[in-house]
Amino acid sequence: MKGTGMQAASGSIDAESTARLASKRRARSDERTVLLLRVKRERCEASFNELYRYYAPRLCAFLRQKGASDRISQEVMQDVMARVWEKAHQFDAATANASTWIFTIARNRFIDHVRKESRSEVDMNDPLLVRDPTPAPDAGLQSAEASLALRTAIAALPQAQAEILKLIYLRGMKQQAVATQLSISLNTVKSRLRLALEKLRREMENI
Amino acid sequence: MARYHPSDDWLVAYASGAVDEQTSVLIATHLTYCPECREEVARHEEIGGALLDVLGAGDAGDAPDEAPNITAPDSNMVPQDEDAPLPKGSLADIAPTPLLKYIYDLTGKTDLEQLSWTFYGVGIDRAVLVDGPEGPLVRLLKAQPGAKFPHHRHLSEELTVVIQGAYKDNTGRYDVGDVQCVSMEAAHQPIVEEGDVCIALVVSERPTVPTNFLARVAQRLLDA
Repeated sequence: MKGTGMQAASGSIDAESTARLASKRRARSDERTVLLLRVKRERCEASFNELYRYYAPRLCAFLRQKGASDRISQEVMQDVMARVWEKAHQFDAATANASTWIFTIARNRFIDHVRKESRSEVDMNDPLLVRDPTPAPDAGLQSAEASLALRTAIAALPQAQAEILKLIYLRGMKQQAVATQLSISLNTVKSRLRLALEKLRREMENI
Repeated sequence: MARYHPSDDWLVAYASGAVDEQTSVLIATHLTYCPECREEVARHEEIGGALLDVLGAGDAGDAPDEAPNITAPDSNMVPQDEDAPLPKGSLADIAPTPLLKYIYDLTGKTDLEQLSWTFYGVGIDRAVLVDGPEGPLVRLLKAQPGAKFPHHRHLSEELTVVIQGAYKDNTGRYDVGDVQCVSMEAAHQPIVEEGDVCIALVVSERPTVPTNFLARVAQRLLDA
């Protein structure tokens, strides 16, 4: 766990505040998740507008990265945000934060609008579903600190690793396509991706 | 619980939306049986969400600044999800929902017996679900206990997920929920275990070719 060294060096008051912070970590959601929960519970339009101002440009950039034209990006973005409003009751802060949830909606709407395909998903009420026999007590719980740590770790990645991450996660390319696009070997793509994911995973698990 | 999983490359591609529809069906079928891979996919989606934040407004150009009427109570922008219950056929007992829905959308059937099964080998039938000239090739295989597949070579990467029974080949034993990924040019000979009829979904870009000359001739006659 980060901070243990500091704690020992700076005495009991800091140790106490570290403990307080640790307990807060379990509970506090990031800002956008709080807004989305307000939309979900109170149908709060002001919160929705704030989400819209934040996500509209990011979604447009995301969709254009995936190859959509300006006009299609706008259309799909509007559709995604309409769904955020309409489907807010389905948002579960215990399994995802706002950005993760909206990322999955945008991914699916892009596949639907642009690729004219559908994307198959697990039915969590499937009688054949095998449940996790030993779920961690707060598995999937996304605290503000965890999501901040992940974002800080992404920002600190070397350029070459960050580029591959964007091509794969945002543009939605397979590893072989990334290798071709960047004129590097498939093994280089694999090793850069592995290095990047190991760093991010450490951050996600440390919180 | 499943012991053979899709590679990380496939799970990332599933999370990012890069896989085609038939592969998403195969992976979602595996995920139904595999809580570990569901957790992996959730992690990849979390990274996707973080990257969405990192993208920033700087790259966005002329995105509009205010929400157009989305919150109006009479907003009809989002169609309701049509989730009509599927007819209850024999396939429902063994096929996870993603696969059941996919087969129903393609064939209008949820009964295993009503699919168009054709002879594929001694004790082995197959039902082709999708077969275009440029691929992909999607089929269900149904093999009797003890059945031996002809030894064959792959012209493209192929993914298989088992939904009933089990088979073995030189790489391992594949049971319900397990995914086998066979790479291009690899050759193998699956043998079905005694016990249940083995049923599996197989997705590839190109068909397989028997390694044996006579079997190749026989397949050409069968496919003609």
